[in-house]
Amino acid sequence: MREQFIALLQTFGLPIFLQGSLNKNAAYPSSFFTYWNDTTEDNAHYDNDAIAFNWQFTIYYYTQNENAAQMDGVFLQIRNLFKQNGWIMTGVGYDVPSDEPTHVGRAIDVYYIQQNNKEANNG
Amino acid sequence: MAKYGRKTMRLDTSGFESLIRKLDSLGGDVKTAAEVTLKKAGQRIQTDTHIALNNSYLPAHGRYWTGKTSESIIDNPTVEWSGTVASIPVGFDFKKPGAGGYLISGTPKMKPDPQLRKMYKSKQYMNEIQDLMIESMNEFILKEMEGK
Repeated sequence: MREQFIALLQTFGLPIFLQGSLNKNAAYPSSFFTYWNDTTEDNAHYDNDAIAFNWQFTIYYYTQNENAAQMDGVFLQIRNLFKQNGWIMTGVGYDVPSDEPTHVGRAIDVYYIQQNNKEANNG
Repeated sequence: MAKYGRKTMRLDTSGFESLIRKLDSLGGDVKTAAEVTLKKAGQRIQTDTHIALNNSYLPAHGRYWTGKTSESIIDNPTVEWSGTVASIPVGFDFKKPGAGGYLISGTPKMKPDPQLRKMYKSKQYMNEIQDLMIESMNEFILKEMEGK
């Protein structure tokens, strides 16, 4: 699931990092994504196993470009792209703190219900 | 310019309104029940927020601890009424200095606090708070049904 998630983000052509993974002294790219996997809770159970898993990721977008229309446009594109690929989206994002005064931050939560296909997983 | 993110934790009160109506129909003190219930929820969140700031959960394990973030936790929250709507502030007071916002979201150079993350982002935690509120309301309803 993580591979598909990252592959979708890569279509934007921006650097992608795990949240918190940048070196303390590293300079921020002008625009980039980070992400965090919040949960992979079981969705429901049958026959002593999970039927599916709820994946929840947060996508963060940090940019030097504080243009509101550009920012909103990026999040509409994220929403549409992930939705087209079977992800569940709520809203078009929310502001998050940026620890660099040169950048602003915004985020969106994305969800995916992954069926627990045991045969595929074992094969 | 650095900006702050989500400043509030939303409590899901679905399923709660029907209990209020039931208590009201039994002649119970709805206002007191709502206040007591919200306070219980607020105190639970207050306790859990303090626990989430234990060094073991902090991204740098407390290396940069100043105490300011702990001081910005909303302690002993009071219920506010706006007409018939009751609310209670929970989590961090973002008007005070502290790193609460950063600890919830993380930053590109700092991982989020996993315990705060569970509280602010997982449905499971909100469900626990909702169960606590429903249990509290049911106690008031039971008292009315038993004639106090």
